[in-house]
Amino acid sequence: MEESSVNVINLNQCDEEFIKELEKFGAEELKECIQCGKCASTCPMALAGLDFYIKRIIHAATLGLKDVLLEDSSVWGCQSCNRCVEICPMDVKPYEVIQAVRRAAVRVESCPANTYEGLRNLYKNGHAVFPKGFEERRKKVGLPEKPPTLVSHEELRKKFQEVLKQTSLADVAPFKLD
Amino acid sequence: MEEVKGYVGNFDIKIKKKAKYVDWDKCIGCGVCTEICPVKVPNEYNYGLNQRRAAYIEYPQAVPKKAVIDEPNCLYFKTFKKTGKPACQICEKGIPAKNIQGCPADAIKFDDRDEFVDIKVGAVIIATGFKPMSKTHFKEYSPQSPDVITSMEFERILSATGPTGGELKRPSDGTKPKTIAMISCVGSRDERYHSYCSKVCCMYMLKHARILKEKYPYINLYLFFIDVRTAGKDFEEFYVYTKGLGAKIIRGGRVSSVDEKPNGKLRVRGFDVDLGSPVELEADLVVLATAIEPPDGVDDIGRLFSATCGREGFLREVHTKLYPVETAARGVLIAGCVQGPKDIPESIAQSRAAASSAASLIIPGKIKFEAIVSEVDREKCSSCGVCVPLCPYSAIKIETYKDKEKAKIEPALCAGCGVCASACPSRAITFHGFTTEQVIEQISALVEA
Repeated sequence: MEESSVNVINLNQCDEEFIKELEKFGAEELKECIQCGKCASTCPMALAGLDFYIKRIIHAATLGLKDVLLEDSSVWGCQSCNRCVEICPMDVKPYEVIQAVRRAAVRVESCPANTYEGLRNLYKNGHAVFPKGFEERRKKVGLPEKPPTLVSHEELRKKFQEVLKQTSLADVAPFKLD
Repeated sequence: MEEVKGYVGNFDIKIKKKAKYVDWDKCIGCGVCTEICPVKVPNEYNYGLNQRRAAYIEYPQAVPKKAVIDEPNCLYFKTFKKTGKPACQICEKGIPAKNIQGCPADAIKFDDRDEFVDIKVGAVIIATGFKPMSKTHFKEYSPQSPDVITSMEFERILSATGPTGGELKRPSDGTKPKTIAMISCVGSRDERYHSYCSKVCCMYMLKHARILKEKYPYINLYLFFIDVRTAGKDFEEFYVYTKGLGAKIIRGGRVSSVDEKPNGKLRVRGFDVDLGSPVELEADLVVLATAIEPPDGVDDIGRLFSATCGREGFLREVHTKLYPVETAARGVLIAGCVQGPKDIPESIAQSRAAASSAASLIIPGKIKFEAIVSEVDREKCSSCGVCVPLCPYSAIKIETYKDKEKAKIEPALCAGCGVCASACPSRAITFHGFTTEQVIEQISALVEA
């Protein structure tokens, strides 16, 4: 493929297979989007000044611009508030599109490094966010060292890991599931 | 249409029937002449994308399905004019040496002449349609490339009876295009050409996209719109459905240039407002949705009937909302794209409105007129004739009255504009409803108030 100059997006790179992949990953209504912009007017990330905001992400997805989407980390900025899903007039479920792009990105290892940290924590402890040194602080306020979740129940934690091994995490995890 | 006389209820119209050089009473539409004629010329019906013979039937579904001979191109007439002897009569006699038969119905008539028919009618409906704009105006879109075509040409390529028999082919090398770009608003919404929106382009682009995507799902299709205008019943649903088929919509993207590349492809440069970025595309075929233009000669037809044309050259209705099919000339009605760009449902609705307006005008046998018309006091008229060329409706004639030439206003034609009354140097013309006395009274009433 011919190289485009810096500021121009070459539409010949539109990838039909990528669109199908996104549809498979949950963005089933993607092509219904008429770019009305309602999602972008409510998205907290767009309001906070994110350049590549939800409306643009969806348009790039309908065009199948794989590189444009995967080279940008904006999809990882989504706060999962689901406001866009509530108000979308075409029932595109923009959040599902974000999730689909994330799923596609993880498969080609095109995601920020802290994503893997979260995955590892989820597998190990049952929490994606698991700050270090929490035991001390919990003790100070009179709480048991470990929260009463999977962390405290070794048997349940093993079972939970068995469940995770049967999900697509087994395919995409960059660490060993043991 | 050669000549029009009279006014609403009493039009005398002279129509010229061009010589067809085929006796239509005998012609059975078999098409033998269109196959054996040796002269080939570009086929106007397919916008020159293929050729027809000098003896031809305009298109396969033509009604009546009868052949004509194209006199300027026919060998018989060409040689007859030059040498006095016709060199070719193949359509009539066939080629006996090769055992090819000529017209089986004996319908060829080289001595056919133009015919003039006089008809008397009560009302006229003008429905001469439109003309698609030519691509040659748009230097930025490489009109010299055979792979840059107008939507009308593309329509013919997609047609089963078109130049390719319905097969999708690039006009340049006959290969099947893999990437097609369609560009909207070519000549419309453009102050250099036509400031109006041609109204139907968005929908027919989507129609083409749908046909293509259903027939050839693997084709990459890019539609460049300024914005997508799909007003009308079921049209938005059609748009969303077509998007669902995989046609790529680029909005805010009036294409700035189409360039020919050395590899025979076309580079399309546009802008995608949804991405907020300039975009570029290498396409095999570029389809321009060119503007709808008034048909050739519409101003002449308008002049014949004293119906006026608007700024853009379409025939003008009396009132956009209240009198959408009437023209300034009473009894002359308009329907379809001769009034302005419109789609099929609208054209049909308007033509039915025009037909019932015509019927309600002439069926009662009597016509009511507005009382606000001008009248000549022939005793005062000095026969100067100033009023005659001034009248926009050609309602004033000079007639003999008491052995002198005097102006006469035909009340059926007068539209009550008052131009003649204000211009008459002898004050012989009274404009009923606005006489000098009445106007002065109005002014004094205003002054008192």
